[in-house]
Order: sequence, then structure tokens, then C-alpha cells
Amino acid sequence: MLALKSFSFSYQNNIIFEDLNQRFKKGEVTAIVGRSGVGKSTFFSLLAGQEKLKAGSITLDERNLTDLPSNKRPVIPMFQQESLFPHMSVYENIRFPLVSKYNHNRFKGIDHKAYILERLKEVKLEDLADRMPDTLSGGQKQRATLARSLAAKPEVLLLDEPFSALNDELKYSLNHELNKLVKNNNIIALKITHDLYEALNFADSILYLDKGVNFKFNTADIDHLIAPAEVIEYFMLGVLTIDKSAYFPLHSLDEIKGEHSFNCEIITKMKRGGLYEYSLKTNDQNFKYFSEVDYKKSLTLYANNEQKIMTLKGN
Amino acid sequence: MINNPRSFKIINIFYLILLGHLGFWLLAPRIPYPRLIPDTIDVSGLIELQNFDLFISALFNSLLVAVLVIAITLTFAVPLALLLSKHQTKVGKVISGLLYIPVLAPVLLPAFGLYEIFIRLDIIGTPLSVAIAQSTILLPYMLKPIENYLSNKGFYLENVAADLGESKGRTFLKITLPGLISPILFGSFLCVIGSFNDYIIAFLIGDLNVSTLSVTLYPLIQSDNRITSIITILFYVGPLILLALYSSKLKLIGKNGNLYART
Repeated sequence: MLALKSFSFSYQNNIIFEDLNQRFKKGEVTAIVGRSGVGKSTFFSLLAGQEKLKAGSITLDERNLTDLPSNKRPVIPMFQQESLFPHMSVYENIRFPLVSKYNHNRFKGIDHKAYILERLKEVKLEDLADRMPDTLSGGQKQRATLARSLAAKPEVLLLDEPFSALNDELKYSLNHELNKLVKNNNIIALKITHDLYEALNFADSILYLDKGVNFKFNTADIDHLIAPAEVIEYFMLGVLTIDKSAYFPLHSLDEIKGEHSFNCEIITKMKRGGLYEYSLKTNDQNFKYFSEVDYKKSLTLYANNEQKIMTLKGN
Repeated sequence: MINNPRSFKIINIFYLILLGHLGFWLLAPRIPYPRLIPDTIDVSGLIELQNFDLFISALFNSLLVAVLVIAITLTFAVPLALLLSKHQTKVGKVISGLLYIPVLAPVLLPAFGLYEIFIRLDIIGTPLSVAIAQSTILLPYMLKPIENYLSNKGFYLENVAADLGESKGRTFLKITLPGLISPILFGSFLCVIGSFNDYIIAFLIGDLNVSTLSVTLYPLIQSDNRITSIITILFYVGPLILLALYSSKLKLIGKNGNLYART
């Protein structure tokens, strides 16, 4: 279990995180979502040890990681930017963590060649071991980077939009493989993404980050989500204007209190993996919605001001 | 070829240069248009070349000075680039800007300034003094490629290596240094070109004791065209052969799609 307690960080008097408390389970993928500039990448830099916390602690199974430098943490980040070492072959890249100063003791007794080939098989790159990074495609590079990250036997894997430059098909296939690897290796995986479909379909839970707001929920609960307005607004792709004090679309609910419902017309419906992506229209506004349920005609948006609830139910 | 906009642009530039030349000779009819094919072609110039030893010695001097320039610029450029790219503050950017001033400043400025210092140090007229003076002008050409690499990729890869459990010292040797080879080679090429091209510093600081190629060739241009012609041909033939060999090697490498593994 990775636990963040009173996790706080500020940059030049700008508070990025203040008193953040969260827990992440082993073998689970948590998607980190939120608007650009809220500090998602900084969150990863702090977990990886590239930045120092102003206050609070990071513990992994009761081990305190807070003051450990990045090269001594069992945390491996993987970024969208190409990070394979260009002068080393795929094989040498994957071998790198096995012979690094602070890791080589952990890999002393094992057969490096067999271990690396096993990692390459996991990401289906066994035939490309001798290739140099500049001869690989974008997807192959990310697979090789993933294999290298997994080779280091991380306990926490941080993925900062690792597949965002790839096409949808490749991205979702890699996500599928990643989920299997995370479960098999019992790793805590945190993944930054702006693709809500990817977040909802390939993560066990979602952590929404915003200035002063952090909200974590299980993806299975998305249909009956009880969440702060900012979260609901984000998941409706910001199309509905939400009054932060009233939690309702402003244009239609200026003075209305209590529980209300709005009929949403299904404009388009598209199956993406295990989820349906709906384009909905209500009161002349369009927004998107994801659900496992195959709604046929229309959906009803229920909003309750007092209970701060907004949910959708279909016919 | 014309369908390719890039090729089209290159063709346009070619014609622009050609028309520019024609325009120049139309406006200045007294200047004879250069004859691309001479009336008589023979090797008498090569046989009668009395100053060939002088040429070899000049080539050696130029190479020696160029190597010294590379060594001096490299000694300063690597730590400077590390410092400037790691501390990208406003002050750092100002200092970085100041370091590029020699590119714009007249060559005579450092030459005059250093002339007196070298006299006092009693190193005037040595290859080292010429190399030091040339390095003040050529430092930015070595610094910029290294700084660019470190800012764009170098430190990022250093962080990646640290995340994978490598120490700082070993990361520099295993990751940063191999990555710096390309920018250092590029900077070295620029330094060699700059050093070979320089006449003023070599003439002034060399004090006629260090006869580099440009110092030797410049007086010959007006006195004996044959010598300069032969030297020009020699200078063109070498790179052309090298280019032909390199391009054939590139093709070989390209077939296997692996540049690093073959070199």
C-alpha cells in the first residue's frame, strides 16, 4: 500500500498540493485526471523523488520514502517523451537497471539474459532485442520502455501519459497489456491521462486532482457517482456550466432548489471496448457520458442540490 | 522532383544565386567572367611547385592550431554548458547571451587585446597563442551544440537513469558522455572550419612564426594562380572522396537499418 499523508508542495508561493491524503493498493491501476496545470506531473516528480515535499510523508508498506533520493526509491516513472537511451540497443536498455549501482545487488543471483528475454516476451518485443531505439516505431519504443521499467522490479509505476502519442487502437491494446502486467507483478500503477475513456476503461480507480480538490473513486461507481461539482463537470468534459455553489447547470436552474431532473437525448452512441460513449443533449447543451449500460433512447440527469448529487439514469 | 516543395525551394535558391552572379557581371563588365574551363590544361604547376614544403608545413600548423582550439574550447564549453543548462534562471540566460557575443564581435578585438598579454607572457608567435586567441572567437560554436543537447535531452536522460537506480557519476559516464559525442563532433567541425578560415588572428598573434594555411595562401593568390588552383583542387578532391565513401557506407548501413551497430 502506498500512502500519502499531509502531502504538501508549493512552487514559488504557489500552493500545488496542500494536505493531500491518499492510499493506493497493490495490483491496481489508478488514473490521475484533472485539468492542465493542476500539478499532475509535479505529483509524479514528488513521488519519484525528483522534487522534495514541503510537508507530509510518502510511505510504502510502512517504509518511509519521503527523504530517499530518486535512485534509491522503488518507484519508476515512465513519460510520454522518448526515454530509451539512444546509444544502447533495446536489450542493453532493459539491462540498464539490472546493472545500475543501487539495483545490481537485487539482481545478482539471476540469469540476466533469460530475465531480459522474459521481459521482452511480456511486451512482445523478443525479436527486436538487438535493434537500436531510432529504428523502432512509436509503439515499439513505448513497449521497450515499459519492459525496462518492469525489469527494474518497481513497486510503484508512474505513467505520465505514456501512450498518448499513439493511435487509439495501439493505445488501448498497450493499456490492456499494462493492466495484465500490473496485476501479475502486483505493482501499484498510477497513470496520468486526459483520455476519459482510457481512465474509465483501463483503471481500477480514478483520482481527480484540482486546486484544493482531490477526489478518488472506483471506476465501477461512475454511473452513480456522488462527487464534488468540479469532478462531475470534468467528467462531462466541461460542456455543462456548473455553478460551484449550486451544482447545477446555470442557465436552467437560476433559482431552483431541491431535486430536479433533465431529459437528455442520445445524439450518438459508440461502443469503445467495454464502455459506451454517449453524446447527450439537454437544454441545448451537449456533453459526453460513458457507461457500461447500453441505453436505447434517452437518459435522465438527476441533480440534487442539498445532497450534492448528480447522476444519470437511462431508459 | 518539382512536386516536392523542398526540392522546388532548393532549385529556386540555386537560380537566385546564378542570376545574382550574372547580374553582378552585367553591371560590372570590366571584371572578366571566370573561365570554368582553362585554355590549357597541364600539370606543370604541380611539377614546378616550389613551395610544396611550405604548403605541407602550413597544413601541419593549421591542423595543430585547430586541434589546440578544439581542446581549449572543449575544456571551457563542457563545464559552462553543464552550468548554463542546469541553472536556467534569468541571470543564467544573461550570462549565456554574453558568451555568444564573440560571434558578433569583430575578430580584431580579441586579437589586439590578447597581443599585449601574450607579449608579456612571452608566448607570442606560438601555435598555442594563436589557438587561445582563436578560441575566444570560436568558443560559442562548441558551446551551443553541447548546451542544446543538455537542455533538450541530456538532463532528462540523466533523470531517467537516476530513476532506474544509477548513481550521478556513473550516469555522466554511461549516459551523458556518449550522448555528448555528437554535439562535440559537430562543435569540433565548426571549430576546425573557423580555425582554418582565420587569417587576421593567425597573422597578428602568429607574428609570422606560425604560418597557417590561410597565412601562407593569401600572398600566393595574387602571385601564382597555379599554386592556389592546385591547392583548391586538393582541398576539393579530399572531401569529395570522403563524401563518396561515406555515402556508400551510409547506404550499406541503411540496408540493415541500424546505424549504431555497424559503426
